[in-house]
Amino acid sequence: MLEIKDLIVSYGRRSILKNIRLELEYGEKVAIIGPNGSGKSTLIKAVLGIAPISGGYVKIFNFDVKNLKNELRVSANLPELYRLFNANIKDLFKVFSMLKEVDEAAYFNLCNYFDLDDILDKRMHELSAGQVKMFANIMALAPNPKLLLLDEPFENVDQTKRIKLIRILQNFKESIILVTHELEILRKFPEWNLYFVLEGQLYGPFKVSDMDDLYLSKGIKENALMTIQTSIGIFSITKEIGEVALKYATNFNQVIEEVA
Amino acid sequence: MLFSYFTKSLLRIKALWGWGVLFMVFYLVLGALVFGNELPKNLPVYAYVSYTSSWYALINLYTLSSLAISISNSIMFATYSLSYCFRFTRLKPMSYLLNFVLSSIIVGLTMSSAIMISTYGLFSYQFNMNLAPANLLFIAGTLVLSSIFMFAFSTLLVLLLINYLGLRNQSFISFIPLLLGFGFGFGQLYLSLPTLLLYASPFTAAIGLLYHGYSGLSVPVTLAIGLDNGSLDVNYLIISLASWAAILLLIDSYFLSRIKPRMIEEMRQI
Repeated sequence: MLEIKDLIVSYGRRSILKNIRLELEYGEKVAIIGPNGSGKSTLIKAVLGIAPISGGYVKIFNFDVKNLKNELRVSANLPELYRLFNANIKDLFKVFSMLKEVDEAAYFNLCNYFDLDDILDKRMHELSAGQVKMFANIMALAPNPKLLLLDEPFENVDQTKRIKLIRILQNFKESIILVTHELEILRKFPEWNLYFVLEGQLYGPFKVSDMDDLYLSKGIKENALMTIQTSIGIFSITKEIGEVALKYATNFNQVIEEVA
Repeated sequence: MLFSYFTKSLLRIKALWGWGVLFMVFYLVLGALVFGNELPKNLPVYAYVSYTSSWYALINLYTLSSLAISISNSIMFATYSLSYCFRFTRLKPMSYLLNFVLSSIIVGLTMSSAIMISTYGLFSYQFNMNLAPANLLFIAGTLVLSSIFMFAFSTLLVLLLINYLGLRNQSFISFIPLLLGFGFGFGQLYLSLPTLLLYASPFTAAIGLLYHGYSGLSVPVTLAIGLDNGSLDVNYLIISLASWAAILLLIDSYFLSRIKPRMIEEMRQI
């Protein structure tokens, strides 16, 4: 359903994503982890066709995303996608339920489930960071898309809502790409495939369930499952032995700092 | 029914009412009570009708241009959303434009009503005679066409900015409709512009039609009293304004379908 081949995304002369390859089958779920600034969000934007693709392609349901029109089966949780006009959340739910051809109750029920009814009369700029993130999560989840794209869906979100969101994602039947820098949260999705993104390059696949056996070490190791080339050196991903164990880390920024 | 949400948002913009109505009423006060004092008291009635209609036509066009600028500027805040919506919702560029056109017509008619009532009250008071608009239906029709044209023109400028020039040039582009409105407006008021230009320019066509609707008189080549340079054919003015509106909407739709997502931070000057 999703095919990314040799994808290059550049802003000016700077390449943010380099030769990305990724394929996703119906119902497949993928977590992509990487430190801040590694290109995770840009990857989501490229899949949506809103990042400047300078090489390769992204195909969704066999159509190049550059030429895609009125494809209702894809949703994402980037807040900027929903700033169509200056309106309160209630009106945005109503408008996007029309545009996505979804019963508006799906939006309001999710809002109620997350105990967020108090945001309905507010505008996006009046919401806290966590509320904006949850609003965007609701906008992405409500249409029950075939391909759900989630960029840091847990960022700034309180514990109760995190638990509720985890439950929804655990029971979600369709395909998901979730990007995050939080390793801890990924342990809730052991069956998902796992990729690392570092300096615009994608490494994988692994399994989330294998994550606690993985180590990151500086340099090229003999038993390396994969080597990662970055501007601060070469790292090896190894299994069961190595310098920094992913199982003790809470986020990927910490892993990189420790090993570097 | 996106237009109802757009309309609701537009009607709540205080700056729009400030610049588009109150500031324009201030100009009407100047036209009626200050400059109107300089008119001789013994002119034929049609001269006062013509004077009043000229002010109404010019000021109403500026009101519509403030509205159009407000609407089209809002597109700059929605570049990511539009790019997403055209790909992943059932929204189509032309339907987005038509919804905005409908709300700009509704809001344009509302604001123009305030301008028309103010014109009627102020100028009738100053000249001590009934200076009511001659043909309300014709005025309404002209306002619809003018609203569509002003919206389509401002939107085209904004889309060129978004897709090619960059948002940093926003403050310059925003003033173009207003500057052209002033340029053509005062040109038509005091100069004898070539007839072909008066027909071809949508600004002078709109001013001429509003003048005709308010006064019921034929549209003079020069609006200022005492300069008789012949008159313009109203039908040609209607065709000109309608053609501009339709063609610009089609061009807008083309550029909108290729809208580039832009960070709003690009607009920052300092």
